[in-house]
Amino acid sequence: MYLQTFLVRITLLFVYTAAVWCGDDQRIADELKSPPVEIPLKSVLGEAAYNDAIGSNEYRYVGNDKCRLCHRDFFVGRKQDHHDHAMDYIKESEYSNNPKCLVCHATGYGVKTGFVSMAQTPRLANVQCEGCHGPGSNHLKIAAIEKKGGGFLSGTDRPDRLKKMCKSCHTARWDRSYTDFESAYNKYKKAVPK
Amino acid sequence: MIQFWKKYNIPVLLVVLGLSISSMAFYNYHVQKNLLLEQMKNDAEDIVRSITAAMDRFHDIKSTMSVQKLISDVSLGLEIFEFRYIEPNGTIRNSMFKEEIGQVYETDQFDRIIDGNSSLGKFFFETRDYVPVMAIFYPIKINGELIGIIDLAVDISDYKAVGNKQTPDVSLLRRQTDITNLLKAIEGSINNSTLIYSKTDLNDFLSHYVETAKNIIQISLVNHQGKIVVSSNKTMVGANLRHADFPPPILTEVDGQPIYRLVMPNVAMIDGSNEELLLLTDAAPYVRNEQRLLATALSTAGIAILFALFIARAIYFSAINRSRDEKERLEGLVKERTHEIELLSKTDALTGLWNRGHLEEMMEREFKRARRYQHDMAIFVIDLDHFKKINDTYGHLGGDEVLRQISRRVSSCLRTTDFIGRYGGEEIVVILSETTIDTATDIAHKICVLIASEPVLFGETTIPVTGSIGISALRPEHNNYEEIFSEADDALYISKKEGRNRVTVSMHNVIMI
Ligand code: HEC
Ligand code: HEC
Ligand code: HEC
Ligand code: HEC
Repeated sequence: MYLQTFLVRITLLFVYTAAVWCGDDQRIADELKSPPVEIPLKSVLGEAAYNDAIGSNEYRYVGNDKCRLCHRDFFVGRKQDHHDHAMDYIKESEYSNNPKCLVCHATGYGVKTGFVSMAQTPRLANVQCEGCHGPGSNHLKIAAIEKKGGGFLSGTDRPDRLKKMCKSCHTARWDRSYTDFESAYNKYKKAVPK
Repeated sequence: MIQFWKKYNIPVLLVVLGLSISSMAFYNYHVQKNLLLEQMKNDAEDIVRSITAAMDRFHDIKSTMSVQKLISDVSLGLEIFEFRYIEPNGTIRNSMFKEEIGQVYETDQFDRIIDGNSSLGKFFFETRDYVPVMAIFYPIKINGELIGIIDLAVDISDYKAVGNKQTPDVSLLRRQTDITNLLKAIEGSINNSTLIYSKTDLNDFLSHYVETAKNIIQISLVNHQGKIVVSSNKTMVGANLRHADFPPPILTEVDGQPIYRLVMPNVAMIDGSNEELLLLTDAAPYVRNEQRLLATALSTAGIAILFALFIARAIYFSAINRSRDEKERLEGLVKERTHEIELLSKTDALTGLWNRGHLEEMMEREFKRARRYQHDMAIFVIDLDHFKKINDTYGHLGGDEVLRQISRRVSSCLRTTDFIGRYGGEEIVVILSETTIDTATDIAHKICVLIASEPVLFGETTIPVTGSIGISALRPEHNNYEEIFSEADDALYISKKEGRNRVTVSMHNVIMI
């Protein structure tokens, strides 16, 4: 019984180490060695626009529970998407508080009102709606009063920014999610990006 | 007075007719106008009824709306994941997901509660939309009666103690107390909101109502002191209106706009008070219709009067024509009569021959005419022989009969252009125009023979008659008819002397020949 467990553990450890060695581990190591990645939102907007927008306090992260009120289909759909599980590995690992990793694996890390830590802001873990569309508070206001879209820093009205957003996470190093970007991008127009 | 009536009865009747038609038109206008007013009043009352109904509903809705407002206020702090207000029969009365409202709520947990397998007011854990939640179905009771169920869920993905754990950790327990407190507050607020009567909100509601309704201009609630407590026009709130300002429904004008004003007394409010509801509606359509009605009435009246005048004129003219005809007829009659009278004055009653006066006149005229145109003209005088003896023998009636019949015989021998008249007694004079002495002599002979030809019949008896005739004709030396006449008379005298029953031509004429 013990031996069995032990053997299983040994095997698992072996497989895991192998995986890390020949895959993510290498990329992780590389990532750790590289200078920190720029905050995706900042790299999309540019320094000045980013500072204006975030400084104005109009753009705050609210979490996807709020979006659920009006976009329940998207909420449910995205729950099944990998972006909503981007923290699964990180939060269990030694990198759970590593800013270098959180920038791409959480929502709005490094941005005021964005993700801080699993303890303080569990609701902004993973790459949520606002991880791609940008802080949602302004949209909530517009949507609640005027019953229409708009108010995002990278909403559907700015596909150039939205595309740049994808690419600031899906860098040359982290490039295994898709082979054809356009078709991957277009899938996200639907509630369930499958 | 009576004379006036006789003279003008038809025009007066027509004027009366015209007036009555036009007054009927105006009466009709009046009736229609009142109908319109009545209709407007009914409409306004309908509006009031629907407003009060809507206000009731408004309070109703508000009681659950305020719940949602409360939730959204508090939920920021408590991170409420789902909230619903469900009626005991399962219909979702209110929800944070608007599309759900009105549907029947169907989840396993809720079904279990409805079936009585699970109790109300207890926290439980489940996953909703892939999110682990802690939820509760909280009963709302008023006076012990279940009026609704609040379904409230919080996202507990932050808490480690998720899953099937039966004993939640301390922080979750604290959360439960918070939520229970919130629910108690909600329950209280629901209980209160049926009593609390916030007027400011009602203002909004009414102004919204006015905006959506077409003809309504203002809705206000006025309390018994005449103060506007609620109004769709917020600036009116607090204004004091003297009660004298509100007679029964009226049509007024505000800033040149026609407005219909209705005050409904004693509108029962949800808080149990009674207030007056002041409704101002746009009366422009009414005014337009009324103007149209008035125009119709006016034209009807105008047409009626014109018509009456026209008929009056026609009757007047026909009356004039008739009287003219009558006058003409009378004139003709008069003429006829005068002619008859004239004739009577010119003829001899017994024989029907011209009388002496006319005969002289005719002789004068004929004489003048014949002389002017140098025409011929002859006169002869006939005298019945022994007429005195006839009168004596047969009486005056016999003499008259003789005269009558002899006159007829003489007349029958003459032309229409000749004149025959009774000169007096038994003397008959004949004027023959355009006649030479010879022709006259011939005619005279014929007459003489005819007179004697057969006796006159007088009743049973016969009276033998003969006549003597003296003739003369116009000659250039004659100055007047008397000269001719006396010549003829002279000739007659000769006939008599020579034995009667003969014709004698005046010797002057004989000499001429
Ligand atoms: C520039 C953005 C970026 C940064 C920085 C980044 N990652 Fe990633 N990571 C990605 C993307 C994009 C993917 C998915 C695509 C792929 O695998 O290429 C990914 C996938 C992974 C995966 C495999 C998928 C999974 O979730 O099991 C691991 C493990 C991982 N990252 C760990 C890390 C760690 C640890 C760090 C910090 C040292 C890190 N990453 C930093 C973008 C990033
Ligand atoms: C991975 C990035 C990403 C994430 C995460 C994401 N979206 Fe999007 N979303 C997109 C893209 C890409 C589009 C398409 C933009 C376009 O039309 O060019 C889009 C479009 C939309 C649209 C518009 C759909 C339409 O009808 O055009 C909505 C609504 C939306 N997203 C909501 C959400 C909500 C809600 C969430 C979170 C539950 C979410 N998105 C998460 C990338 C994302
Ligand atoms: C009060 C309701 C409401 C909430 C909450 C809400 N939205 Fe929207 N959203 C709307 C409406 C309405 C539209 C317009 C939809 C349409 O045009 O079909 C919209 C459109 C969008 C779009 C597409 C248009 C655009 O501007 O890019 C995106 C993306 C989006 N929402 C994302 C989100 C996200 C992310 C959240 C949560 C932070 C969110 N929404 C929360 C109501 C809401
Ligand atoms: C904030 C960083 C970030 C942004 C922005 C982002 N991604 Fe990703 N994406 C990730 C990470 C991290 C993963 C890996 C998640 C995992 O597997 O745990 C990923 C995974 C994916 C996958 C694989 C999903 C699957 O089901 O295997 C696709 C496809 C993808 N991203 C497309 C996009 C597109 C398209 C956009 C832009 C609209 C986008 N992403 C924007 C971080 C990002």
